[in-house]
Amino acid sequence: MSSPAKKILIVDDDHDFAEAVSSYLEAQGYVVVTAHEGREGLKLAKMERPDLIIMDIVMNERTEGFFTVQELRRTAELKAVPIFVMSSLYSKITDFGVPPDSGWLAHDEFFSKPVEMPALVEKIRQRIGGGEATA
Amino acid sequence: MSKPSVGIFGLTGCAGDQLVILNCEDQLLDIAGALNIRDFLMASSDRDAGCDLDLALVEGAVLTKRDEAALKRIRRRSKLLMALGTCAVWGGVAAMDRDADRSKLLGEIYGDLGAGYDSVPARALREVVQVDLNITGCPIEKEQFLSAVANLLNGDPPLFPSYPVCAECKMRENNCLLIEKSELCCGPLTVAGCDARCPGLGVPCVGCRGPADDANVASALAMFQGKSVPREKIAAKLRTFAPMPGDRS
Amino acid sequence: MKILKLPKEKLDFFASVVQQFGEVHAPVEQDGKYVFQRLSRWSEARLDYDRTILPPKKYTLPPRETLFQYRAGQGYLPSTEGLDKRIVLMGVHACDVYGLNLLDQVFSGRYDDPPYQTRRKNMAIIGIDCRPDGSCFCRSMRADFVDRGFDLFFYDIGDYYLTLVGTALGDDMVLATGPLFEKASPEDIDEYKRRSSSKRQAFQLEVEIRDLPEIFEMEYQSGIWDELGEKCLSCGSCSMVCPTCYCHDVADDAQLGSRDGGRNRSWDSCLFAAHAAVAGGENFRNSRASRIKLRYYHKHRGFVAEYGRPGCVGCGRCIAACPVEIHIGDVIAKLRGIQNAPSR
Repeated sequence: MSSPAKKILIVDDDHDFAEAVSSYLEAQGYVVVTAHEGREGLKLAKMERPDLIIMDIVMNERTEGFFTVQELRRTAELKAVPIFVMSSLYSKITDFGVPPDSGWLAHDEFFSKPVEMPALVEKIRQRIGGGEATA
Repeated sequence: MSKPSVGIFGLTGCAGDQLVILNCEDQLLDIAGALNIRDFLMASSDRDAGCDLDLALVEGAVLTKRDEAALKRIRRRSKLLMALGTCAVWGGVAAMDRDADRSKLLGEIYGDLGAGYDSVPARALREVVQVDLNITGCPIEKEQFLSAVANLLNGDPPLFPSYPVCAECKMRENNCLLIEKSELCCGPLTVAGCDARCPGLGVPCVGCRGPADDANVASALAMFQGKSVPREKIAAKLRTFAPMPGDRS
Repeated sequence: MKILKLPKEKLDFFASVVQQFGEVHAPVEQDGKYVFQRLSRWSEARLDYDRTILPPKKYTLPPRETLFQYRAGQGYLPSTEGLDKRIVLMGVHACDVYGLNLLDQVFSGRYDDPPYQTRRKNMAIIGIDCRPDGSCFCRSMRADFVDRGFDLFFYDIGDYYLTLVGTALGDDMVLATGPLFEKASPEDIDEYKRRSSSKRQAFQLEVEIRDLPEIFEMEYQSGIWDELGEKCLSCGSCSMVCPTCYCHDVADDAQLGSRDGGRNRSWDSCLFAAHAAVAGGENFRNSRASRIKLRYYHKHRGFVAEYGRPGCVGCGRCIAACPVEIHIGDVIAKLRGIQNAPSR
């Protein structure tokens, strides 16, 4: 008996990017829901209880994604959900400069945009398993 | 030690305070287990209307001769008498304008039947009998009732705030309706215990819990008048739930 | 002391990275006023605020808290709920940092207060400077500048914040956000001096405190206290919003059906009628006049005797919070016999 499909929440104000990633992931057998700004993403996360969250950083505000990640970590039922941060922040705004991996951001993986889809899917599979195409 | 025998009664009132007791759904079984409720007509028609009681809780104001007689009977049979709710503690809504011409009022409401009606100017319980404890509120706060029961069972009197609603509004960091919106908020004169629920929702306090300890009505009146509110409107608002000390306008 | 500068436009980045040290709280707008609150996004922060409704003491000495739970015959268990929460409080004005420092003295020493101390320790403070408004008199109260009690302090020097590092934690914050900070130049320091000097001239409300405790002693019988007693509503608002008022009530509350319960602490005020009531029914300050007199006396005379300086930091919150417009500047002016109010 097959287990229910894994659900992924994408939070990104770039509609085209979100659409592209969503389609790709759905083709891999994942269920995908999308939000286009931080607060909406938080609300959707509470409702949909995704298995994994893909979070953009620069949305309506430059640091919206950072604050949303913190909010998610403060929400009891979402604390343990893996968060993949996907951002062009570091390439676009070079004087931010603080590397994401120094432990200050409570994310699980960081991807710099543009993202290599197969690499992304591989990381997702490692975290939460595949969609319907279980390895 | 045997459970204390308790009676819960209502005189003239809306029965809202007794309803709050019944609304303690999560604690009702504990209450029934800790107390021997012998006479509570609202909850059960199976009542002992004559037995001695350790504690009687009485809601409502005394508005009829029948109320008066009932209250005196309750007082006689109870070791402790607790006034429950603003009507019982202060007179409440019924005591608004109690100095009015009663026969005229009765005529207006009941027509020819008015003359024979058993109706007396509203009084708080303490104006008729000795009252030992008070829980004010319109209606009472669940938490205060439960706290009262819990503490009384341990032989301790309940401790309730006697300071004004303003304190609780500030504790909640509410915006001040009085200062910022020039609303007619009775917070400074009204006793706290409700956690400033109404101002917390943007609704000015109407004073339903009765006066705070040492309420400064004169200063509040002057302050409200400074906000260009007509004196009659202020007086009417202040007199709604309790005859305010010193207000004779 | 390390002195750096942070570009104002990078403050949102700074706040993001600093979240690793705790929940970021800052002043946010609430219906035209300001309150310290946790940020869910950076744009909520209003660092150019005048004053918050409640001072930072709401974090270290919450309006209501359970001190411990007790079990009859078995002893008590100190309450730890919420004590380990780490907070980064951004945008604290000097007067409020000063207020926290005063409360630190009250809650330490001979009677150390573990819940207060723990909360204070778990709260990082990032101060910010400000411009005085018509109700600010912190300069008169010597609280317009603070040299301790904060981890970082930001001084506006135009496009940057000149940053003073106050503690090792502040230093950790700077290290964690490394690329965001720059070295301060001599020009930057000159700009700070210019602005600091212009701020000194900007105060509209001044009170002289040098011999104020003695004047309070002299005016013990003054009619002003009865006047104030007539006006005061005893609502306690001034005490609730004061950064250094710490009067509290402690009461036990039993659990239904047992002798177990909790000991709770909640904000109180010497203005409340029941504050000075004792067992047996005696009340040492039955009249409103005596109560409001005591509040001023404690703040400007009693506190001086015990801690060497007045408890008041001149933040102006009591002025903003009083429904009947009792104004501390007017009270002090009357006591000093000056006919007109001191505000210019």
